Amino acid sequence: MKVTIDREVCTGHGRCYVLDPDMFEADDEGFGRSLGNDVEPSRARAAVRSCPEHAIRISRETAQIPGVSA
Amino acid sequence: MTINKDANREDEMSACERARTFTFTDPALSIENIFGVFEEFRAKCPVAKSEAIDKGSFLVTTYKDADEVLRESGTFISGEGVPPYLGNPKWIPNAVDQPEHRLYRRDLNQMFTESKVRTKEAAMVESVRGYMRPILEAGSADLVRELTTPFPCVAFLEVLGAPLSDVDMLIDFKDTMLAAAHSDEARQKLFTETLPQLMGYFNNQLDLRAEADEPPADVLTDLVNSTVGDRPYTRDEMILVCGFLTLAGLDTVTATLSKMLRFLAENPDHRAQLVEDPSLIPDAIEEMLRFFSIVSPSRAVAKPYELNGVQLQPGDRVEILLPSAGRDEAKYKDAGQVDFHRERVTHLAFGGGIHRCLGSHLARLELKVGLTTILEMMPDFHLDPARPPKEHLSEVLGVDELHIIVGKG
Repeated sequence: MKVTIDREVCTGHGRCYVLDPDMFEADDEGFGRSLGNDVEPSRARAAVRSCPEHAIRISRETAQIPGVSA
Repeated sequence: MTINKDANREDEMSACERARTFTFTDPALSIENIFGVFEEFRAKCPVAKSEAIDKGSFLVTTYKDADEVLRESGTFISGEGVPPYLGNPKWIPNAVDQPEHRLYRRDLNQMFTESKVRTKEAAMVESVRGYMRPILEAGSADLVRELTTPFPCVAFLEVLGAPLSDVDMLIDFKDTMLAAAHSDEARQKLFTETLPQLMGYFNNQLDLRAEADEPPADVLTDLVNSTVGDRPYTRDEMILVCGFLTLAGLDTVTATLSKMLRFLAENPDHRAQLVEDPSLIPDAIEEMLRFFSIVSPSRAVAKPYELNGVQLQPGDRVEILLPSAGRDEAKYKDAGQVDFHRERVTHLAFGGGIHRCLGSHLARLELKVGLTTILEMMPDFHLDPARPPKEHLSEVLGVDELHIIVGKG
């Protein structure tokens, strides 16, 4: 599962990259940036829940493997 | 059934009626009973109108509504809604609305990023150790006077880049602020005497930076080099930023750290969890930030808006009671209990939306360094039964005195 950050909504609390530095990093202003890694769903959902601004979205439900449906 | 319904309606009316006279300075309210009042508002009159705050203000009491108001920054504006304890100056950036706010905040954000404030961690540890040594020697202390007041002042000077020897001036300033929470006379003095002096001080510090050949890397230097859109900050703007950083950054950390230490003094089981496993401290801090959210920011309503069934009109004011939002049972299971193992707790202690606390990373680091170092050096302490803690209520909740004795109670 992959996540993205809505830059219009993010205000830089920085919880995402502090709590899961393998999924997120900070930009120069301290706003979060998704590293685009494919992670297990529980971890992606935890990231979504831990954003106080509701700025993290799940962008892809599962890895896209040809011929295999989710 | 009808009787129950009527009884409920009566309950709701009486809660809303009670809210009409709500103000933090009501002598009948105390830190012991105010959360019961908030609970009643949340359950029976979640968006209540108080006539006792300035010219009247709606009280936003639930997490959901607080979250909504903070993020609807086009409707709930700050320029007209600066809370009275912050006085008249149009502080930057908190009294600025969009689109200008974004321009001011861009460079300011970069001065207070998590990675930038972390460079001060070692200095902060040394500072806390320095304040703890005499406390351990004496075996007792007023932690507010001897630790939680001076420590954030030194950390602030360190980040700002002002001489650490100026700490006494900042402590005097904080004393005036504390007094201002209790009396109108002191509040008057704060705005006519103390704040202008402080602004003069910042002006001098900025002069030094502007003249320096090789200015050090710190917030004062960054401010001198900052831009608002395509122009540099004016000197007045820089001073308004410094003034606001002082108002927002010192008292809040003092109050929050003091409340956390009081809780740990009174709850040896919670304290033991952190002593045994210090890696739990960051989670514990988030949980206590939820439980001890201290600030109640204000906004003015810019356009008609329906909030939780209540129709708001332009010109109305709202006070967002974050201490209440942090204990909302609809958001948190067992909201009245402090549980360091709560999973990834989110809270509004640092506000939210565009005015999200600029110094949240600095504050979190101060709290982490503070609690870690204090518990390392003083794993056991308890309240002095002869001198109970003193707290005060205002738009920023605070602790005036916290007398502790070193060792198990």
